[in-house]
Amino acid sequence: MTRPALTMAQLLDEAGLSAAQSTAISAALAAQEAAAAERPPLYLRILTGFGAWVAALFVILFMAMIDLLDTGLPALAWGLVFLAAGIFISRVSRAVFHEQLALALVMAGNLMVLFGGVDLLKLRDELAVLVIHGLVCLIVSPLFANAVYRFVAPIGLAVLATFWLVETRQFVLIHPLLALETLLAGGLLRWARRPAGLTPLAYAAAATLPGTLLFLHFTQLNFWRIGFSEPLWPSSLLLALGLSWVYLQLAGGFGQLRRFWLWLAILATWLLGVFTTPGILVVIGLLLFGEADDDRLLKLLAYLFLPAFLWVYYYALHIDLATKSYLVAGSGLVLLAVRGLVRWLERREVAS
Amino acid sequence: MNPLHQPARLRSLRQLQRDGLLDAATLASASRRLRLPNHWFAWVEQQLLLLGTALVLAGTIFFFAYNWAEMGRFAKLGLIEAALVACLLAACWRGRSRLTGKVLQLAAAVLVGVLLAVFGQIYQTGADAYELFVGWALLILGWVVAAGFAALWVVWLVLVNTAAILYWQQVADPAYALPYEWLCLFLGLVNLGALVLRETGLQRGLDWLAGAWLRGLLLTGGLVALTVPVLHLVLAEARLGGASLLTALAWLLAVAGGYAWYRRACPDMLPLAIIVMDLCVVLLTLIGHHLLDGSHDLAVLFLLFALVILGVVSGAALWLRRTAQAMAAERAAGLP
Repeated sequence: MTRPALTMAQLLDEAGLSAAQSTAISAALAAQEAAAAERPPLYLRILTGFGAWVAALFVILFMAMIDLLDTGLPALAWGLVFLAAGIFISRVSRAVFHEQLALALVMAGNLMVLFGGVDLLKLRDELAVLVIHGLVCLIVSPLFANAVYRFVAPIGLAVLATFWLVETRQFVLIHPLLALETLLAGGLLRWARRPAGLTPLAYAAAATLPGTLLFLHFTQLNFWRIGFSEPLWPSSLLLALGLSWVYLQLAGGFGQLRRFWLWLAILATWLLGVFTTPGILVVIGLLLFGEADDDRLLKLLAYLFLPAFLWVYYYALHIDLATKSYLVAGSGLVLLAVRGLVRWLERREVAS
Repeated sequence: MNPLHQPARLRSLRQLQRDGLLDAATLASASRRLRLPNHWFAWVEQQLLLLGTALVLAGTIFFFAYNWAEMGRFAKLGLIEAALVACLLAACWRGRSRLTGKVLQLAAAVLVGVLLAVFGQIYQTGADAYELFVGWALLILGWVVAAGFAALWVVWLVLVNTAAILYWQQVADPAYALPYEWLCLFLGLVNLGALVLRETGLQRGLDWLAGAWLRGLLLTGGLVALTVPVLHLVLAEARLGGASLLTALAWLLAVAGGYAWYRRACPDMLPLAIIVMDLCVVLLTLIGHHLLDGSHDLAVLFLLFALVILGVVSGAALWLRRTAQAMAAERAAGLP
């Protein structure tokens, strides 16, 4: 699905760029390569993130065992000290060990501030944890330029928010939460001039949106002690709208609305929104973003969530196994028939 | 090499746009040149083919699971065999080299398993479950070899692994008290052996083996199988025996051989990272076991272990970063 390899020079020649622009682009490409060589690859960030997390837990255990975390005030104080120390170390040294140490300190500090704040304020509920963690994220993230923290902390925030909404049965507020996650994920992933510092947040949003939906479905299947009992159609509506906008963007704008296949894609999306779970729409969105930007991580995320949402959808249908088998196989045949339709549309598009 | 003379990549173009060096129109135009005009159509067709086939197969399996009592045995067997033959004929018609043909071959391979399961249920042969998987793997081996489809090879390896695990659970352990280390050794040899075959095949030009995911999957599967008994050996020294020592030796050979191969012969950072992460897990388990398994001041030991974790992981990260830089420098210098 790609042409024989074209070089950057060939592509940019055709774009008619000036010599000065080509020089700037050449320098930027060299800088990209150097930055890529310096930036730890994903597997390294997973390794260091996991190591820092485990180390943070042992540090907290140490603090607890020498009675420094018995009450809220010392826990809060030590948490703030750890946060400050972690931020300071990250700013004065880029050595691998110091980066790891800083991350462990910030993670441990974040947890201790959470515990200390909740205990001190005598607000032992989920909202207090959510608000305190939100404040910590807001303050620490701009100061602590660590991709792992900037990825994990927002996910923690989304988890706490979902947990609070479900535990306090404020189900109607799930839709604003899903809307926020959708706008964050869609907006940040498609933002043309996205700053590098917001990239972890973009991927965190891309992970929490399907994660939140999957959790809600699990509660509906009684895998949690409280079942989410709010219809999800407002979120399906928003996601279908969002996907339609993405199709338009990828097709080249509103001028492409004359294309028959675009109308079909939008119609199919709305039908999926009506008849299936909104998680399927999220997966389609992630796949599209991943394919548009050649982003294997987004595609991997989509492929991981797709079977989960399919399973949840078919499992939740209150029909016997025979009818379910017809439905599942029938869905497959419909998709294969749609594939035939797509091939016809492709031939029509190429011919025109 | 001048960066402008390197192959163009979409990710690089997007980054240039984020840096403000390309406007949206230039990016769109360059993206269209980089991809074929029908790129999105071809991609959607591919996704629909894979998902549609998976749903049809799943529905078929559910169908036979449910309609057990109501269907006659000839109807059951006849339906599955008809579907199997239809898949094979369609694969031949579409062509084994095309994705559709390969997916149809995969569907036929899955239906063989359904056929064996139905056969076993009808005639109540009393066979253990592992025999179904062994038979399934043997029957489809010819197709797997002929298909040239990496996903089908993975399905076949899953069958072999499942057969081995079930054999150990149902026969080897109850009847012969075979230590589980022998099972892990077998699984490690199978998966790493498949990896060796994959690397050999790739070097001989079998491009369908080229996916990086396959290398990572086989290496992870093989290493995990060998690492579990090694961790057990570390944690429970009393269980020292022939099987556990042999597995530990196999693990050492796999780690050393894998590192040498992917560092020198076939440079690739992903398998090196997997090997290094595996080493970290074993090393930290060893250190943690000896550090925390005493009656000394546990609190201080927890703090010490936290620093050890940071040290080991940092060391691993630094090693990998330097290795990546060295490999990049060797590539730039045209060294193998």
